[in-house]
Amino acid sequence: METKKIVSYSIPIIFVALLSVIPFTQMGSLVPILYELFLWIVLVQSFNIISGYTGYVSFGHVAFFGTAATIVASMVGFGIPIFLSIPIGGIGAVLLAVVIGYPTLKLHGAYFAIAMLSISEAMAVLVLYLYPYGITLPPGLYDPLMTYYLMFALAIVATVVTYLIDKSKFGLALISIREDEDAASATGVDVFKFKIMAFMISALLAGLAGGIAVWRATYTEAAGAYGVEKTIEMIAMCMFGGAGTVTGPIFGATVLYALEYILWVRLPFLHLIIFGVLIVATVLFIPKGVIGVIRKKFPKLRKVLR
Amino acid sequence: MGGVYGLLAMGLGIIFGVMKIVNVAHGEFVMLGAYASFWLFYFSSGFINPFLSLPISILIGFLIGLIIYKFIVQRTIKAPELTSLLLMFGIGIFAANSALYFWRSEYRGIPFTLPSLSIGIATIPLVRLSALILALIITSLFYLLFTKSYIGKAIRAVAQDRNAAALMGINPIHISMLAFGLGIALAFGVGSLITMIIPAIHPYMGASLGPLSFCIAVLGGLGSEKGAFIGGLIIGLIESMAGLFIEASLAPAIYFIILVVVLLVKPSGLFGRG
Repeated sequence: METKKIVSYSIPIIFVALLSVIPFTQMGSLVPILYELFLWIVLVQSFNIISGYTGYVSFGHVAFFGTAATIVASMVGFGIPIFLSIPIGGIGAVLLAVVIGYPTLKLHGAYFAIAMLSISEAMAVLVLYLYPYGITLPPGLYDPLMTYYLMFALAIVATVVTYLIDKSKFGLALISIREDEDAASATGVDVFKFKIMAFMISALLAGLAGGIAVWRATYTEAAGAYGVEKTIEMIAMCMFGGAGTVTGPIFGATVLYALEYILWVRLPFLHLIIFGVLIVATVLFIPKGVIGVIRKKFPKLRKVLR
Repeated sequence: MGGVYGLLAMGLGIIFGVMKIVNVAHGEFVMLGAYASFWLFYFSSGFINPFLSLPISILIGFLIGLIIYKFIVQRTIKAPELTSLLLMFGIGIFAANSALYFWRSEYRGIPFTLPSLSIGIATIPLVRLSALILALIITSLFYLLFTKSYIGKAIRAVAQDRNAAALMGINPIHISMLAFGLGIALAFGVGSLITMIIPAIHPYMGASLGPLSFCIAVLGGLGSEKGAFIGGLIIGLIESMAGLFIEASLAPAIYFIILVVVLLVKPSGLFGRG
């Protein structure tokens, strides 16, 4: 029992240790790829909290990413230090979540999905109108190593937060909302409060990721920051890995990002077609995702693969 | 444009009313309809103009709708609402990106115009006028189909109460399939009409039409045909007004505000039931 515990704790620690020294080794060229992967893990976990656990599918999740990126970029333009701007960008995303969530989370899940779809479109149009040429950060800010570690840390934080939610009563409340909202409300769960809290946590993670991403890219523009393909990839990765699990988003993000990376070299844009097919196939055949299938086949792994 | 918007929301409303499926891929089907018109025009070297291709495109849409329902949607009819939502989302992504991949991203248009009509100081382009008239004709045909024919009554019966309709000897599975086909057919029809109004077809045009059609449908009341049409007219007017008084490119932001206000004040929409 003791050795098992040691093994299951040491695997993630070894991973973290390896990934933190990678920039200083021969494999330093992997850093940009790993950075992208961490970005995806954060976004997918963020989507997972509101959509996987709570069951409210956010079809425009990229709105938080893009809005925070825009806020951070314009604040840095005013001379506010980047370390201050990123948290403010995150708070901006949370405020946006409250504004959207307050009217829509009270209603049926479908209305929420529709509202998210149109808000990301509306925000993209608004940002394009305000900054038609995008925003470029002042020169000299680019710091690949710092952004790598920040995104890495954020990916860990996002996963830990998801793990804590999964273990806690809060997570249980969210799952009960997903399974049967009326029943949850009847048994005394303050449905609306939990939904909006989950939505705010989710928006905060996506917003912080947006802030770090704009630092890395030193540039943001509406079409890129609010790209529909980001939401598509988030949903595909989350569904494929397993929505409503801790490890599913990591698995989904890793596999699909690798697939995308390989395909991009030869056949750009083909991956989005494949992602569409993957979403349909996952919904039809493995609604609980790959992790869900593994957990069903090997019940012993259930404790490790949360 | 308003009449076309009404049709847009009507197709969405039929599918939602009968199956409680929010068709988030509606915009993508409109895009496919527009391309259907374009390719028909292109390969017949201009012989099949948008007027002729409209019925063909509607028929293609109907068949595609039946096939998609039969092989994909039917499997999830008993699953929660969000399952079918994700499913339609996946289908939409597949459609948009396949179009992007095979037909490339350039804007295409059908070089087909009619002379303009001048009444006093107002100049009305005949193509647009005929698009509006066609939209009105299709709307009234569908309205008649829904209120007068057996099939229409059956569809409304299933929308109201699936089990009760089944007890009355209506096969809800067949009716759902038919309704899905009709919804997609309407989307294709809208696509063909749009080629008359805007000469710019591209694979991602569905991405902005989708949210727009939701705003119309929610404004008018999801599942209400009359509401869809009036909602379409209102949104069409707002869009023109936004172009005149504020800034045309900001129109999507205005739709969103309308959507939120409607959701806050009267979630069932202007003409919704319950």
